[in-house]
Amino acid sequence: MNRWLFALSMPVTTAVLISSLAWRDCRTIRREEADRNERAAAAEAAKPIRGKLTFAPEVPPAPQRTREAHVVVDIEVKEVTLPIADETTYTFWTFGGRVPGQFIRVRQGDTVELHLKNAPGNRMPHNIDLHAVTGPGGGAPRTFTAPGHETEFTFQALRQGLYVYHCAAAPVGMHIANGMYGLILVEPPEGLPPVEREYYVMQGDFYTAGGYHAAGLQAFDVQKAIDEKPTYVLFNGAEGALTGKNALHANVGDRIRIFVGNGGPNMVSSFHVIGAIFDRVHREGGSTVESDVQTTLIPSGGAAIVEFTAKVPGEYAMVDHSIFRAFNKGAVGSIVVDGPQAPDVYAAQTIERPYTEGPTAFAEAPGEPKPKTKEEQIEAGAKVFATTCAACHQPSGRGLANAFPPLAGSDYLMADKERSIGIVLRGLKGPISVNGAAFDGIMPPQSHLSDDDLANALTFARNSWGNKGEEVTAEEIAAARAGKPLPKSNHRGATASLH
Amino acid sequence: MKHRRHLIAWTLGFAAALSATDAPASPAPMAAIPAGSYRPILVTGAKSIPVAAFRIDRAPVTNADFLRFVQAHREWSREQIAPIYAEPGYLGHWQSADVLGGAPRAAPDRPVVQVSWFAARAYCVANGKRLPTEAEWERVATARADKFFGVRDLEGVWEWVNDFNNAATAFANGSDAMRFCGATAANATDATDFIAFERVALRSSLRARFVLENLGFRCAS
Repeated sequence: MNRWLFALSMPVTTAVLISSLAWRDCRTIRREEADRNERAAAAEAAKPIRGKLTFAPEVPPAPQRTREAHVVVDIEVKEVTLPIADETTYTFWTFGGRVPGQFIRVRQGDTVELHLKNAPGNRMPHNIDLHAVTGPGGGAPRTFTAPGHETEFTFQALRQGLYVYHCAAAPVGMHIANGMYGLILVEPPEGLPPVEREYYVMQGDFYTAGGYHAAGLQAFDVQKAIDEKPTYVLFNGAEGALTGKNALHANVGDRIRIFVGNGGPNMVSSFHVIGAIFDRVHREGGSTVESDVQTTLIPSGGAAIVEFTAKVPGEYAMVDHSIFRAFNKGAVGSIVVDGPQAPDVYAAQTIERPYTEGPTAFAEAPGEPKPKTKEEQIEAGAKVFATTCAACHQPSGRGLANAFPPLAGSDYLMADKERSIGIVLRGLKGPISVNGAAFDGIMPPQSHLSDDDLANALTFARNSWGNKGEEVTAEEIAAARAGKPLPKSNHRGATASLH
Repeated sequence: MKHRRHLIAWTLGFAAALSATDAPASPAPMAAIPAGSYRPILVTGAKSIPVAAFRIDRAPVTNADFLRFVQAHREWSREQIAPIYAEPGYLGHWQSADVLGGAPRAAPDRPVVQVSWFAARAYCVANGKRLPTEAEWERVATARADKFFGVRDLEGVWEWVNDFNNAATAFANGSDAMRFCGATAANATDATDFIAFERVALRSSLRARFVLENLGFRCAS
């Protein structure tokens, strides 16, 4: 019996044992798995990441990380002869082979392992001082590198911000004047707000033995550098680096963020985008954000993050608003924005007309006599129409389909004289129907014209191209301008007919 | 790169032309430099350093010169040199240990480069000479008024001096002086002499076993 019991209990006990073992195993496995995952995450974080670097005007993608990392950055110093203007070359000293040097993008708290490689064919020793570094010399003494050698230097990016890096080997002014600078962005842990476009622009001043646009290979001019009289002030190291086929691009509605640095060595930049107001500026690249900025000052050895929204299509010039530098030293770039017009923000058409009211050289000459008859009004109105109205409504009075309504044979014009007077004085915006066709545009007010001019132009329009209506008088315009109702006696019917 | 080479070639040619007109037709291989002084670009004390009379090679040591040396002193050949005396690139522009080869920089009459300070010093000693001091070299290089005493090719390639690490030690308040900008500006006697700055910067970046593509030497006695 005992034996039977024992024999019977054996498998049960075994089963219980096995199952409990298995159960413990499961728990252990789960715990181990969790530990393993955590270790893997930690190991992943500790595993060096190779920093992606870009040349201007490109910006590396944001580090999509939730924790700090060990980032390895490789920079090769190259002394290279490149164009500085169309017919002019210059021997630049560069981080990576171009001016400015490659853009470095890390996250606050990252450990950055920087390898500085000085190409064997270079003449000079070089180093790197990153303004993102906390410590004497900003890394320069740790990275002083002879030609054909490499140094390695590790630092922690303690502070967020956009920082300049540059060579600080003696003679430092010459190294910077030759183009040895770039930007390093230390992103806040939460990252920067998303935008549609990010660009990298860096200003620098250059000192050549020959004058502006002097052809051929130009040597560095020490005296001009000491006198702070640059031959060139440039964005991204060459005239034309950001214009023509090299212009930056965006679409209407894009939020555009430009990381702007100023390598100097001497000039302070008055950075401005013509036709844009910066929504936000990280002043001097730090965490102070200012809104609604027209021009921002960027010190030599400083930077700024500027952001604006492209609302109107067209070409936007970025300049150093110390403006002779833009026109005579090369400090111009352009941003081409594509997309639909926004005439309510920026009128789509230029309106041009003679201006004769102010004092003229012939001030004492008698003016033209005021038209007296309807025929004289039509004749005078034709001139006003030609210079003011024809650009949109066309000389034929037929307008342009889908854009500018016709006046010739226009039911809309002829139906209501008072309304027409109101429109020329106050403008018109929104959908209307003219001869059965829909229009939805904007006509700007023409109230800057005199009562006579407006009266004559309306009289002309109401009596041309087959239109037949009564005249509009200057008194009627004046009354409408003053907000009074039109005298009833002048309010007569009119007809329109299409030719 | 090409342009720079042109520039160097031009400089060399210019220097050669100068010496051709100002030096005797077949000058002695060494120039005698009278006692004088030298004004270092970086100073901590005296602004002018006295330099005793000395002799210095008119031209840098060439590939052909150095080939004869390594053939006679095998311990300084590319194959046999002890790693502590030179980096791996030692005489790397030559075709082999005993053949200069066709590289332009390896031409027999071109200044020898890719030599360490140890090897340069050994060459001079083997020829009964020594490396010039920084003060001696600079006294010659800055003697524009004396037409460089007939010494040639001072701006072709960089050149070793015996006390090349002076810049990082003797003239500096700390070893970082030449390594970044602040310290140099504070101590400079003539902040506009950028060529002198470049030379000091280059020397201070060196270690005795370094070999550079554009660093050679000449001897003094």
